[in-house]
Amino acid sequence: MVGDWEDADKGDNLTVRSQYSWARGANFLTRNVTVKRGAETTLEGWQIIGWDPIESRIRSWTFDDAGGFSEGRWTQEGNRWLQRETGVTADGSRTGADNTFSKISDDRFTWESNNRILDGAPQPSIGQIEINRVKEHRCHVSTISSYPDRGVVARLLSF
Amino acid sequence: MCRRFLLILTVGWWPGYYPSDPWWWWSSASWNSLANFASVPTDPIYVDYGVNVVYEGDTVYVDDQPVSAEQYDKPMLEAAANVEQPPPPLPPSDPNQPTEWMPLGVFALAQEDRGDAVMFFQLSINREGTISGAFQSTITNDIRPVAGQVEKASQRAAWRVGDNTETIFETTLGNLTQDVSPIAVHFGNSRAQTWLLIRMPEPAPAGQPQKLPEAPKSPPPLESPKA
Repeated sequence: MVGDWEDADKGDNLTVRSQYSWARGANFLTRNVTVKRGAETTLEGWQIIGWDPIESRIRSWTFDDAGGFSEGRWTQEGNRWLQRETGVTADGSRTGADNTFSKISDDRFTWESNNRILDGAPQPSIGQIEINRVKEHRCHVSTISSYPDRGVVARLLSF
Repeated sequence: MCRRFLLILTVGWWPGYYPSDPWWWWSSASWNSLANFASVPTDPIYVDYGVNVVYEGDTVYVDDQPVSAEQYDKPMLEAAANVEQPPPPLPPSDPNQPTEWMPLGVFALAQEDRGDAVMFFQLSINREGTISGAFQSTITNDIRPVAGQVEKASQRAAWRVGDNTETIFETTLGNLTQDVSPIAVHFGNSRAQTWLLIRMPEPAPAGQPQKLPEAPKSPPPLESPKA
């Protein structure tokens, strides 16, 4: 997943761009995500993805610039990863969602979000969105080779 | 209030009420018993949202006939948003007395092929057609009361969760007698998604195997409620 990725759906004038890179030691993936409406940035967030040796699974911790944060537990099924996420918004409302990442190729995956809940109320599901690697930023991939003994996260999230 | 609803969903027993039947809220209703209880004189109406009632933007296609969503839905959505929160649905303290509430069952709220169910309703109805019950999310552990209304002529049932008047759940009384049925979830006035209600079986006594309902072999005959 290391590299730059962008939502392929431009119909709503929203662009979601994610930059995944290895933290030092290659045990954690870090993700910076920027949501833009036109040229204006409407949301920025940060995520850390790592291996939990006690639960023997991938976990993630996400923070957004509005003051919300969440944590996710990841489960693999073939080429799909289910991320069950729970968190809070800045005003104290609880959030929950089941997000599914499906690998199509090394340069493409889909994302969808279901079972979404905010402050005790179900929220609309988000259907499959295609996410493509941004080719001109593929130089990020080279950072992986800096860590010849890559950790569990690298072996599992191999796209 | 939420604590009382929590008892309904997680304990299934209400101190002082029906201690011999802790799973009263899990009971299903046959169409005949429900129609008799709620004084609904006609045959059951079953709806398959996305098949005989289709939402497309501001238009609803009812048996392929276009109707404006505002005309078709507004009265139902407003009734569900504005109905006063009813009390928790309790079985009668004296089993010989007529029951005020008829349980419709405990249902998972889910979408087809979208993973494990994590949201659940307990729904009950009184003779006036008021809906009461509880909603629980097992992801966030949120518990909220349910308040809603049935329009007896069309058999359309709509309810909200807690104080959230933006999200309204709509189906028909006939659908609520089924083990699996579609439900329209209205997000605001303009977005509706089709989800599923799946009946949850009454929990088995400790040490005994769970008794699961038989999967339906064919869908019920469809008939569309008119606006």
